[in-house]
Amino acid sequence: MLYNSKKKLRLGEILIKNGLISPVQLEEALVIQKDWGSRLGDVIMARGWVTSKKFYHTLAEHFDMPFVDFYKEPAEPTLLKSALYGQYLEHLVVPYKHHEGRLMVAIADIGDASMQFAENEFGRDVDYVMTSKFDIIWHLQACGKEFFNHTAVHALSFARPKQSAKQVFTVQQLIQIGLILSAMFGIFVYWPTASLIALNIFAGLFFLINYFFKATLAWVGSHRKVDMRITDRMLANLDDASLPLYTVLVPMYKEAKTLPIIAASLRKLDYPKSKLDVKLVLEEDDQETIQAAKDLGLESFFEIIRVPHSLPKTKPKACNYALNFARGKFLTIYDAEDKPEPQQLKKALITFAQSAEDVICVQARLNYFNSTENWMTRMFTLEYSIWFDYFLPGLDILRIPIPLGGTSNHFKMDKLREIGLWDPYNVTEDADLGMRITQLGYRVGVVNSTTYEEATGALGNWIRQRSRWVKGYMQTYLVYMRHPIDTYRTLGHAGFWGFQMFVGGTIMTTLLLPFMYGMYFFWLITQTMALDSYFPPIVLYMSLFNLLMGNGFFIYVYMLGAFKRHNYTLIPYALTAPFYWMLLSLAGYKALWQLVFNPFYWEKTTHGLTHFVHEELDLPENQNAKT
Amino acid sequence: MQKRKSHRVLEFFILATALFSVLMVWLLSHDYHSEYSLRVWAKILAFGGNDFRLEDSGILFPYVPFYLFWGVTKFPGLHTEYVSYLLSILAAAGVFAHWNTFLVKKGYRLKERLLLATLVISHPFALWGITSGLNNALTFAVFYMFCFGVVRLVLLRDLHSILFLTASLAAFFLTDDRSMYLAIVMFPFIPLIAPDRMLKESLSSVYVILLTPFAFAFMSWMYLNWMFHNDPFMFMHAPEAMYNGVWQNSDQYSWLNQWGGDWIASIGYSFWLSLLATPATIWMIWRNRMHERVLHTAPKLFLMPAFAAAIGTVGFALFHAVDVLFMQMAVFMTALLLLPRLRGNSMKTLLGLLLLGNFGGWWIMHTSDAPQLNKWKAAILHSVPDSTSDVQLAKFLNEQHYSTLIDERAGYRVIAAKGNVTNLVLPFRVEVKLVDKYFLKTVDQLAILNPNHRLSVVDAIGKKYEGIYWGGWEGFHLVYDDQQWRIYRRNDIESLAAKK
Repeated sequence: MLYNSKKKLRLGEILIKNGLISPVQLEEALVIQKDWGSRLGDVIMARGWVTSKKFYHTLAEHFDMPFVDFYKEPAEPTLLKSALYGQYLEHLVVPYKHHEGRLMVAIADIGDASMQFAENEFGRDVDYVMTSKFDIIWHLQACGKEFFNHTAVHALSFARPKQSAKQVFTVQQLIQIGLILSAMFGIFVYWPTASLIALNIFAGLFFLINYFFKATLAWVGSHRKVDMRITDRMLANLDDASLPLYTVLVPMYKEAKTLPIIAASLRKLDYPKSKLDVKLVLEEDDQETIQAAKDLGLESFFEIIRVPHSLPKTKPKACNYALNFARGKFLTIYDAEDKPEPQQLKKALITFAQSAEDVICVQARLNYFNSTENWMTRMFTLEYSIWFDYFLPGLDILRIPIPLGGTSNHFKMDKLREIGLWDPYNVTEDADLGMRITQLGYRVGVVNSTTYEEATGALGNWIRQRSRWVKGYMQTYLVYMRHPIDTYRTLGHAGFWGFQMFVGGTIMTTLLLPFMYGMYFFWLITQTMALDSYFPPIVLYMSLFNLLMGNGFFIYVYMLGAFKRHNYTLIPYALTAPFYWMLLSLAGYKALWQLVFNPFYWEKTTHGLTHFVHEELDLPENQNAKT
Repeated sequence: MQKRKSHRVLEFFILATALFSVLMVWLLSHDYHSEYSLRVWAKILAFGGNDFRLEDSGILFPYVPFYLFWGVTKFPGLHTEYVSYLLSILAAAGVFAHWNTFLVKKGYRLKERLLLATLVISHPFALWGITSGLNNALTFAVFYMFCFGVVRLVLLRDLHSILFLTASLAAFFLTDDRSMYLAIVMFPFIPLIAPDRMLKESLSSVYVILLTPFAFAFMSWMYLNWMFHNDPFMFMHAPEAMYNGVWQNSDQYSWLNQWGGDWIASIGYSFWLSLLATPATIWMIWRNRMHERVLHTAPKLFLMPAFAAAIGTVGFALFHAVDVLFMQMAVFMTALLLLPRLRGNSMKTLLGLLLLGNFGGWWIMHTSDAPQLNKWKAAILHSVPDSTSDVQLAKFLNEQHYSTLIDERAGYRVIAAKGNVTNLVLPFRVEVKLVDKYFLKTVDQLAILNPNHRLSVVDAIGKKYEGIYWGGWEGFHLVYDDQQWRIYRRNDIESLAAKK
């Protein structure tokens, strides 16, 4: 039975009586409660006026129930059923312990649904105790970590083995690659000149098609309709009270120093805080960041999820793990140094509402706040500008699968669970997920809201990050080319060829470019005629077109990217893009090496190096963090 | 609704194609031939019989019309000079169909649109652009797209318009040699067309963004000239370079002697002709002087061809100012799209001024004595038999089987009239260029152009062996002379033939 629920005083009155809030705060909370359509307690905790523990203590007093602190009086782990973890979390109800032969049930959310669940599961003849939401979550994390971890690592590979990158190369793929390489070697030995001409034709054609493909994307993606999706008026018409609970995952590893950045950014989000379910997803062995999160004294809408150590130790696995605890109807991901535009969540919701039912993910734009730091960050910003401002909207309009960006992708929660979450073995889980979404008959949209990130400005750091991305693209390509006919059937004509060019083409470009530039500069410097026989007229003209028009076009699109973002000082740097592309190739070859010898290794990117972060956090320059 | 709209565009396109076809057939039936089309057709014939290489064509003239023409002739049944005119018709019909679509959006009724289109098409500047040859028709189309890009940018202020605009600019360079003069005007003017907000934020960026594609196209052309000819500016100073215009023979154009070389006179003349031919554009600008968008854009668009014509005149490069000023009609067409819909008296005034411009345009045409314009004007009224000399030589060459060395640049009319390159040895081929003395010893006949002819500056044979036209060559004797061409035949040709 529920303890005496007779209400002597209202909750707000008790909070004032206990000196936890002032009458003015209560008045304000009641106004906000009306606007947000949330419960009073959630509003008060979201505003950070009362700590979670004190609030639930008061709530217990309000319902005349005993309050238990799981830290001091731990619950019995054996009472939990792993099959019900999801429901325990959803309703914030768990079996607590047996006392004098009766089962005690701990509850943090007294509502019809949770009471109904408790009654169905534990029967009527139980005693209820009040505890805090966090006690229940920590208890479930502690007891269910083996279960949650197993789900996080193996859910996809068990449910959809064909779409998991757990196996890098299938036997069939190894045979195919072996046959192709052997045939190429044989042909090269017998017909060296002809085979080099054939290779030249292949490379020339590839770059030519790639040029036209990207030109089409830029053309389509530059349309003004792309920027007019969500207007200020639409935002103003949105009723806060009707907004759903929104989960925000923030996976971090050794990023204690940058934690305040994301905390501050999330606090600035224009969204009812009582409807935010922020999960700081931290590795169990990363005590420094866990402690930093505790020390920040975060409001109740922040939760810390500790991910137990297991392999592969990747961001997607951490996200899968945290998803077990997510309660939102929608979900997004941010990195530790991210600064999303405050209205991004609302814009994403409007985009979902305006889009067809099959749009289950919306990608926001990414850009960098430290673009002017050095040459590398400038080039990185230029690249991101065209990627997110031209190419992804172009893909969206042309119905080509969108490889998601690492952060700021917004999901419908139920659909995300349905499609099997992130692939923990894929080091660009986002790109893979974008593909899988399309393959399963859903779509990804884009929204005109930007998240600003920190561009890696150090060469080594950049190579590490980029090699991981290219390796992930390679994994994704291999996964979806295991059964090309199936992929063709499920993606359709535009989707399949778009995938070939956007994912396969990106890989191929990075690998081919050094050879093409190498040959060109060798000829330019030596003026040798030794290469003439490998460039018959048609190949020569194609190569000339690619050299002049192709390179010229991409440099120009880089300029347009900066122009659109009003980063005018970056425009001249677009002329140096070919040097940047050579670095991409370097990262590409590193990625190829790792794909074979260390496929699941997560190359860590150091964040917090920029003086922008140091200025913001008032830190000395030599401190940094890793993710 | 969408389907109905596309039907309308198609209907108008078919109507325009039919109308332009009638006009073109009329001209062709009067033996009109565009010099440009003949020149390109001769090259296509020349390249068709050999291993074609890009560099053989000299990289001296804009490639878009050439490759378009060449590409279409590869289709079965289309290996004919007339493809050039067919493409002109389609390009012009496309422009008018596009214009009509936007006039519909502006709310103009069918009767008004037909009246406007009739008055524009009957304007000699537009008519010249559409029917005088592939390069002019494509230039008209690309310049129209450029002006439309400007209008679009002013109205929508988006990056799509910038891409559209800059792509048309780059395409313009690859389509038309006259883009060189326009480019000089464009450099200060184009960026100022951008919306005020862009200009205020970063003027230099607007310059860079709008002019980079054109600069890339220009530098690419320089690179190709350097790569194949070791001279990046060869396309500007080689005798046969189209970018030179008529500079090599400017003394043959009396109007150039009158107006050329003098900046003030050239500018004055160019503006005077513009005013005479397109008073409607001037009136629209004046009438809408309070309309910020129009005032911001239309005058600059109007000034571009006017100043470009003046620059071409100063440089003794144009056979007539009309060679550039015909693009003013594209300015008129797109400027109309900027304005609010004209009604009542305003509409009547516009139509009246268009009619007046028609008279002005025809008067300009009438008073010009440029051979290129004269032929076209004459062909509108009656038959203009082609140069008898070239046709006669072609007939002569077709009647015998001796191998003949002839410069395809000087003899393009001969090749076009001959219809093939059988038995011709042409110096565009690298091996001929390298060992031409050897060819003098091996070919049966030499065809030499009269040094007084305007094309003699590009006759490599006559230039290399000075005096060969008048004095012949050792071991050769004269077998043909029509005052324009001479054919020298090898003396021992009969004995050689007997030996064979």
